[in-house]
Amino acid sequence: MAIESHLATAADAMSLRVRGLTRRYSASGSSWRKRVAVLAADDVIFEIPGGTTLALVGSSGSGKSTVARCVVRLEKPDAGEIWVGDTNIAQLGPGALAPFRTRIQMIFQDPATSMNSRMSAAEIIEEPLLIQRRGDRGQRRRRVAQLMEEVHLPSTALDRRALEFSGGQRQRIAIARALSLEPKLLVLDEAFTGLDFSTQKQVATLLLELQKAHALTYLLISHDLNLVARVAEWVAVMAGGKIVEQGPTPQIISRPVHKETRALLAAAQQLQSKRAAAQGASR
Amino acid sequence: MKYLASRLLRAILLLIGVSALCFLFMQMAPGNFFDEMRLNPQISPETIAALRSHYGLDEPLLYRYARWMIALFHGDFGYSIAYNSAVAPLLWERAKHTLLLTSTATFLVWVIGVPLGIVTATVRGRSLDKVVGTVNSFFLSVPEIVLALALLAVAVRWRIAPVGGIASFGSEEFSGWEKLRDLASHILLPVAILVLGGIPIVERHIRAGIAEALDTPYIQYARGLGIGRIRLLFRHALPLAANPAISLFGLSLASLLGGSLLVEAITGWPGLGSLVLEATLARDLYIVIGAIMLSATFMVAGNLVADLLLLAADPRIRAGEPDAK
Repeated sequence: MAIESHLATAADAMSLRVRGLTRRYSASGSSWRKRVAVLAADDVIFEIPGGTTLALVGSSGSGKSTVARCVVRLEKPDAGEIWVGDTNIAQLGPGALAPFRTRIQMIFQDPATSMNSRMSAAEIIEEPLLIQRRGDRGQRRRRVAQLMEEVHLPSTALDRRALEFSGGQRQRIAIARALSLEPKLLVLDEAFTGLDFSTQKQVATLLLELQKAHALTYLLISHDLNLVARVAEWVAVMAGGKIVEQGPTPQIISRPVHKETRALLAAAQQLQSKRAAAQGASR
Repeated sequence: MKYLASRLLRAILLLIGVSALCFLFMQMAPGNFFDEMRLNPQISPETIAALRSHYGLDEPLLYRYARWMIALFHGDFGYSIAYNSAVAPLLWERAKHTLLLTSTATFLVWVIGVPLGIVTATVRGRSLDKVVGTVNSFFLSVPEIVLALALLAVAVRWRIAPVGGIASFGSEEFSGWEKLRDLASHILLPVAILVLGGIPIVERHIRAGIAEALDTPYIQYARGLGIGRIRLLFRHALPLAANPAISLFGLSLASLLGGSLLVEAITGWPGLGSLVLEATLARDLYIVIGAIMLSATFMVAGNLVADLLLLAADPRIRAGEPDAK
């Protein structure tokens, strides 16, 4: 089976609709004490049209990562629907879920811990193809080289181990790995956190290029509204497990309604002024 | 090869250091083998001096150490004054018993501890994990000597297993199968003490390693690809958790000769433990030094085996990366 990539058209794009998503965790103070339910995601509703980006923003503990983990079905929601194209994957069993595992991929905050540090870049990118039993060895190696080129990494770096790369390069390897199975939806869980400002910009530009080339739909989890303003068409703000405000990015940024959105905007502006001051000082 | 050579060199230097310290501390310890004779008015000080001279105890420490080292290269561990015999065969006879006990116990500890650790890591927070955790905490907090005395009392009270020795009286007449059963019944008590004390350590290490590995985004990513639970656990999580387990395994090998001395002394197992205890009290210099050197050699060899296993298992160590653990 050939596994070479092809350029996608807008018609190939896949939408994501989340309806009433609810996820509870049980927590306890000590090992024998009675467990208490914590509502991490509470009746979450949003929609991402195919080929566009929705940023799910909120402060720490607001429930955005829980939503992300439910969308990629690392966790099963307690209630609600997750429509990927025209299939509700929220309650699918492992067998029925299998085809969707390749169509939805996740990129984590820390690329170093999301990879096996014993493996080379080539092995890391090839791993999903191996797990999904795609192609023979030669086909897989060709695909890996193609993906390295696509994320602007030199093919000479194929045999270097993950820890030998910089943070930005590691995130590119993570993107190449996610793309190896030709997904339609990428969940970027704080994928820019921990990168310096210029590397953030480079990775964001790369993601926008790839979105155009492969008609990808992005669910971007972030707490940085500066970054969101550059890459996302839509924003949904979460607080206490609920979506408290959502809409087109320019509208949310210019006319925030909820106090959580205003707080995030204030933090973003503060961060931007600090960056501007730092840039001025370095000139 | 360079790695192996440097490790071997370090091991040899370590053993030389241990032997020098042994000699020094034995010299510094008050009293010697012939001190009890001084209390006997029938033995003259001249006789005692002649005996000291005969066994070379009046020679300077450095000279005795050099002579012992030269003899060691010819396989001679020195001479026991108490047993009036060469030390090497004495030690070997007892070391065989100790190794039989500790290798049996170590095998059982790992065969039980590793699967238990894997299972409890995968069912974290559930009833089985809590029960195993509580039982392990109990055995970890009870000192080995208390555990040994408690099991000894139980074994004697209910006649579960014979106490002391390695074989029953008259066992020379037994058939092969009967001899094996007799040995099993004698080894049961000391093995049980070592196993109950060892399982919690291995189980805790394996559980912590696997639990940490299962929480890494790397494993989360593999899960997101729909990989099966068993394959995820054995192909992906277990190698991530392997390094600390390999180091612990090295320590288990290292303590094969030195880790059971107390249990042997309490249960009357005729291993190195009781021999070393008697020799230390009697200041029988070369037995003590020989036993410590044997134990140190196992310690060094166990760590060397662990280093080589880590080298084979982890490409980051082969590449000399500092953060490989």
